[in-house]
Amino acid sequence: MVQESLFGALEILVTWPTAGWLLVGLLAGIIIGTIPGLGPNLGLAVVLPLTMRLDGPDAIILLISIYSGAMYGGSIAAILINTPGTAAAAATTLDGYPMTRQGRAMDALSISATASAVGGAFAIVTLILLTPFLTTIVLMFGSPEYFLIALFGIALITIVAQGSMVKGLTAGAFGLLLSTIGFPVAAGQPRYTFDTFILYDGLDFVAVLIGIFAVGEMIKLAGEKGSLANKDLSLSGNVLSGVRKVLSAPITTIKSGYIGMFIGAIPGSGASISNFISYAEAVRSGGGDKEYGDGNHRGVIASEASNNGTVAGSLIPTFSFGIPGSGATAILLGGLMMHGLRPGPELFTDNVDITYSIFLALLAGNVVILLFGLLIITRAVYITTIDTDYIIPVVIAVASLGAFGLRGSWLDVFTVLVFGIFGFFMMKHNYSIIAFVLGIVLGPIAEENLVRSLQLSEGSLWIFVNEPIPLVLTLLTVAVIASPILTVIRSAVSGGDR
Amino acid sequence: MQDRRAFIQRTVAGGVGAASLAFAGCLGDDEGDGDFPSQQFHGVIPWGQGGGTDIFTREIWQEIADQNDVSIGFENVTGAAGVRGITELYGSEPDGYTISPMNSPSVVPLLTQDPGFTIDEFRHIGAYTQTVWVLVTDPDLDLEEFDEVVEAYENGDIGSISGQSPGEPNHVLAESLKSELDVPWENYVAYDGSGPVIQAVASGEVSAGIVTETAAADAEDQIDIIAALSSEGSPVFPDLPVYTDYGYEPEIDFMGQFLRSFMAPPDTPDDRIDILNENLQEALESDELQSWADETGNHLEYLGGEAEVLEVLEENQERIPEIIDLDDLE
Repeated sequence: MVQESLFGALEILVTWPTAGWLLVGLLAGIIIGTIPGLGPNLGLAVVLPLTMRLDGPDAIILLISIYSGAMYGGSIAAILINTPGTAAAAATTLDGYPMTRQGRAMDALSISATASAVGGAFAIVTLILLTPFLTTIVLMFGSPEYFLIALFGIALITIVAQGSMVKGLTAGAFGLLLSTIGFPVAAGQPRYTFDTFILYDGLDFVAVLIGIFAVGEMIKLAGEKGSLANKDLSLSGNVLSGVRKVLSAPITTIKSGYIGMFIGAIPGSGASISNFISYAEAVRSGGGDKEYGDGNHRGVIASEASNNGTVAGSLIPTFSFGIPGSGATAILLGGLMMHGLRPGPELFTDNVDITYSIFLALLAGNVVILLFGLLIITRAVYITTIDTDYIIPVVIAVASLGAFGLRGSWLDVFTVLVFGIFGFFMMKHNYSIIAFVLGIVLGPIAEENLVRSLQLSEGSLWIFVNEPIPLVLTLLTVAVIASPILTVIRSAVSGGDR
Repeated sequence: MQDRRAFIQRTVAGGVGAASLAFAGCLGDDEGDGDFPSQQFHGVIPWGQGGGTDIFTREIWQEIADQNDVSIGFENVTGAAGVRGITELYGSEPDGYTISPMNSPSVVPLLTQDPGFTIDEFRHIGAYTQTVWVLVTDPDLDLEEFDEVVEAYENGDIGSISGQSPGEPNHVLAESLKSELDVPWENYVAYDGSGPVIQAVASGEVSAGIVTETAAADAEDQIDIIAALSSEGSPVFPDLPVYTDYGYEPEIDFMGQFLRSFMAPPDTPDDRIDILNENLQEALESDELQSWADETGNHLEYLGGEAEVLEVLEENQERIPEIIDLDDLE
């Protein structure tokens, strides 16, 4: 049955023009992903109405290819100019950009293409194998589980906040605080909106990320002379050494792909979260050739493998219950409905051919990403030899335009500029940017699901430990918070022995 | 008030979606030659792309534009529960070329946010469909009839009911079940959309939920669909019992179904509204839209012009503040 459906799906995929839409979608996605602010959401939003005249499968394959391409495309500007093309590539800047500054941009770009393709492929193959059980899996996770996963992510601050713990916690808490602006789903009363409806929907965290990473870095660069790649270093690295680096870190790659898939399946989250969680996990497990944040190739692998894995994961709640995991899947869902494909069990029974053809399109898309990324995008390293006097104004202009494109609101443009200055000073004074991002991104998910869980349990905290999945998640969180304390105690004890 | 309104109009007029930049260049000049419509239409959609309202608006107005041999550009101006987009329409030129969709429950955010105008100031073109809310329960509870559900709440066997954020129509409906029909649920649990409500009900996280008939149809195998919350019944489930079958008066009909319509800025001239109304009726009967509706499981039917739409909106405006305390939402 599964085999038959897969062959049926393959038939849909290889026929013209479907294969053409796949290619067009991917290339468009990569380009949209590269330009800061023009993430997959905007790309999908612009294309959605144009798909009205296409057949259902063609339209969905075009849309999903844009989504997948943009996930990879976001890494290009992240690596070259510290400007994540999409929020999903924000963690890629942490090690990818230091690699560029060390003259290893080509390495970083080929690592990103390979890790995106491999991580994405593992996730999608797993998704195909899990298809018959997806609905059951989704039903295993509810509000208490979602809260605990978000809490686990927030607890990771203790691991990723290198240097001062107090500064890390301060940055994380500030992120959480900012995420409370606007109208919360659970409470029903707008907060900190100062009676204007400009702030009614809160700050857009994508604008915050663009500000902190892109504009913040440009302010820093403005104080330096020369080009992005330090002059005294020759441009080293080649396409194949990047591929080899990914293949020599198979566990990081596959683990990151699955982390991406898992986080992607949680409603309201998405790749903007998974790349940071995956990066934090890579930092926790260690390894690699350099310190994290100083150009460790595993940092790029973790972020890039996870965001492409997220695409597969985000389809799970979207297809099984019509719950979009992120803004991009919300538009994808609209595409499904516009063409009469309703989410729910039908997609896994009567329409399973179409569902599988979408999954196979994603798989084929990862091959295209690999080839295109290795053969063409790696040529973009010449950007790093351009004088920053030319780069800075272009990045600021594109970042502001991209911010305006998020929701068509001037608030987002101000957000980018204000948080650019804010990010510059955070970097200067060693406040952990990852801690801040985990706070602002996970805050709403944690809050919404905490309120709901406590409503369900009538205020009892037992709801977080009385079933196997919540219990495991609670223990994991406790372990993460306790580990730095244990390290301190252990070193004190061994110090006392001497 | 006047200052605030001017400020809002300026802010919103500036806050045009990026997608519209592409369309802006195509807008023709106002010729005013009496031959209406002869220019490009501009659809301002106050909700996100890919949502139900967005899809309906694009399909129907593309057809109206095609019939008149003119083009149409759409713009999603989202935010503040629809109020941003509605405010943009309010400040638009009243020449009949700019239109927006309106859903009757949207009177709630207009009442709570008080943007400086009311919904009856707009011109209403006509209604194109209505959506009925249904009560669904966790299948493990084995509740089949509306009165069994009410009894389970009375006995304390179940306590929770779910829907969307406070102020959303399913929340108002839950409150009206309690105040008008004496259904004694204990706690209302809010989710971010119909999909999550269904997932929560299917997994047994909550006992019952209120969702639209179309959302329920997608998950028919995973939930028990108990009753339509409109005495007129559900077009999607024609055999489904309605709450009035159980001896209740039709007290919650004003919320149990919501009307979807289109509107134009205040002061749009009568003759243009009449033409748009005729265009809408014609489009809704067209083969193109009817076959689209059949294929996608949507229902399209002309349900009246300005008078009928205003009647529904004004009833909502009057009754909702009686059911929920709007001050809680401000």
